[in-house]
Amino acid sequence: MMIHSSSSFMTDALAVETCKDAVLRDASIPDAPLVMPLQVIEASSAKAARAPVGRPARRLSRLLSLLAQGFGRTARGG
Amino acid sequence: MSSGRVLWARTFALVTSIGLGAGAAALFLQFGAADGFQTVDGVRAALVLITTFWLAWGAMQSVEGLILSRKPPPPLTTAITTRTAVLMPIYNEDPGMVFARVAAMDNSLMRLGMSEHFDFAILSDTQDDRMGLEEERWFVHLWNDRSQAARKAKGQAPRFFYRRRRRNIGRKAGNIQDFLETSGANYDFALILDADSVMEGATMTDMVRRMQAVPKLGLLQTLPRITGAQSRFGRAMQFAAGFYSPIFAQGQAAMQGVTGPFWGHNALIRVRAFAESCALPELSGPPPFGGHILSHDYVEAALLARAGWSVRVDPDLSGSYEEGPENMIDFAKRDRRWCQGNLQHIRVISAPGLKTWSRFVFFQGILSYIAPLFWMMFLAASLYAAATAPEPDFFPEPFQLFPVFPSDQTSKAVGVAVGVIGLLVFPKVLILVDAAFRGRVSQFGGTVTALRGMLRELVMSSINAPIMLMWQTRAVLQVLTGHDGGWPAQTRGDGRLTLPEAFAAGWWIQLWGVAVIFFTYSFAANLMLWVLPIGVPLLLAPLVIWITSQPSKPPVFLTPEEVSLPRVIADYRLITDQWAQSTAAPNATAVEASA
Repeated sequence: MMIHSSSSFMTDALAVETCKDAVLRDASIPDAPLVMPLQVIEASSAKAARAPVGRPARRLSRLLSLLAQGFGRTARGG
Repeated sequence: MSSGRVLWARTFALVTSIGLGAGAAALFLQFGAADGFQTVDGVRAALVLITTFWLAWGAMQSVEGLILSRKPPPPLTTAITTRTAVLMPIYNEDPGMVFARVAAMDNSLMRLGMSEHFDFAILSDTQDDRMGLEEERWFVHLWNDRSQAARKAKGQAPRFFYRRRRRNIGRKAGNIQDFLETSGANYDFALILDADSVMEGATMTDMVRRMQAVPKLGLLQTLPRITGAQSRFGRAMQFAAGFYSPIFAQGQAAMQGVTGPFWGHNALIRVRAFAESCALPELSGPPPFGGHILSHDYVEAALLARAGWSVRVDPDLSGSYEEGPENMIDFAKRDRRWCQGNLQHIRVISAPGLKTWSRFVFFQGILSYIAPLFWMMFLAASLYAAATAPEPDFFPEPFQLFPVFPSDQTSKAVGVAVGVIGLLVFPKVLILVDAAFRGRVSQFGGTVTALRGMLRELVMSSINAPIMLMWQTRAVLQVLTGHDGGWPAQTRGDGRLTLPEAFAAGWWIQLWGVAVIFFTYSFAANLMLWVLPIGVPLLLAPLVIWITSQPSKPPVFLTPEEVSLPRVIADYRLITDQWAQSTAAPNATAVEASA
């Protein structure tokens, strides 16, 4: 009897696992890839310094950008 | 909102805040230099300038929120022609609760007949295998509950997905990116949630319609309301978020225009826009300043704006909910993570091509965590100045017959202090008056109950503030000295603490309280009255932490969601109860499904 119960339990457990695997297979996220190009966040200051300079507002923006980059370099100890 | 109006809103807030900061600094300089100018007087005036500017900036957001508030637009009724993925990223969460929220949101969509436009994807980053197995078991239960096998039998594609990453590269941002790179082409939009987020179906469909109507809109953020709080601390936060935040958010929205915020969840993204512009690189160097970007949401909003997409917050969108921390310790843990994330933006603020406003948003985020340091420095400088102040010289000239009394400028310092308190209290009073005038107070139990809530919240936040100040200062110093706080899972539950737990978290703050009071008493006794509002809460920190974690019940801090429980939350609680009773062994239902 014990042997029967034990084997029944194992069969049930196996069925549950099989069912779970089937559900997880059906529920796997759809295969519809999309490209995500890696963004540039850290730019070298040399690149910023070479940028063309236009109106005063743009000059100010470039100056702020260079200052901010200096801030960033200081933070990473460069 | 027109760009002219946005520019006006920004200029008005900035000029007023700088003006108030400069005025306070000038007054304080006159007070400090009354007995002769010392370097410390200049330092204190500079600190007053920064801290007052920061407080005024916050106050201006509420003022502009009140001035520029607009009637919500009429609801759109256009047909939904797009597909949206509702993304639920999870990390070591209780799967039963998470999946019950998913089921409640799906019910809400089904009631509107809109469920076919939305799929749900549970994106697990759970690293614990045992918890991962639990998630799988509960997902099978959700699958059966949502009749996905029957759907499959009819030849229809499933609407519920589950994926677990064995390595949580890039944390939440990496989790979302992984989904978009694998399945993004299937969807027009993705609604990004947190594990504790719940949204009404009507809100989701409204967001989709708004996104469909504006092709340049890359991200639409809602203002989530905190629900389900049970403790004094949690319910005070819940009240403040419900009562004040909509006004502050309207002010922010007026200033941000189309360079709005992303708070990481309860927001709809345009998949193509996000994929094109938001793949985040790792920052060079080790954490805390290098490595994965922790506060990725701010950066993603800035990158969307850089690529020319609009990012907008619509505070009028109701039906968006989240849960908040229930006690000060959980709040401080979350704050530690946010602190590191915001300070890491020092590295991002210089990213090429960002809009000036995006850089300013990063600056604000950094300042919000550095500001406590300035307050601490001001306190230390004031104690130093009082301890080293020269004795008054009543006879500065030789052979002088009558004494000359130094001019008393104390009233100017008191004026600055009153002004600072005013900047903290005034916006809240204005919001209460506005709410009473417009009838919004009725959702908060009426004018008297709302007033009681406001006063109690003011008292609580005044007591909590010095303790939070200590935690924030420690967090900033830890980050600046290179300590990485990691990515701890969020604590859920009622958050009730025992006294030993509160003491273990707050004993060091108590020691600082003793030191501050002792130092003041010994070297600057005339400042004692000014220092006590800071020193006493520090001294009582463990008690405050413990008391505020204890249960709280309405009517105080009553919120609209407590007056009338939103349908989706009522449904979520019902489902949680039903599942708790019926799924002691989710395996049983799995067998049924396979049969």
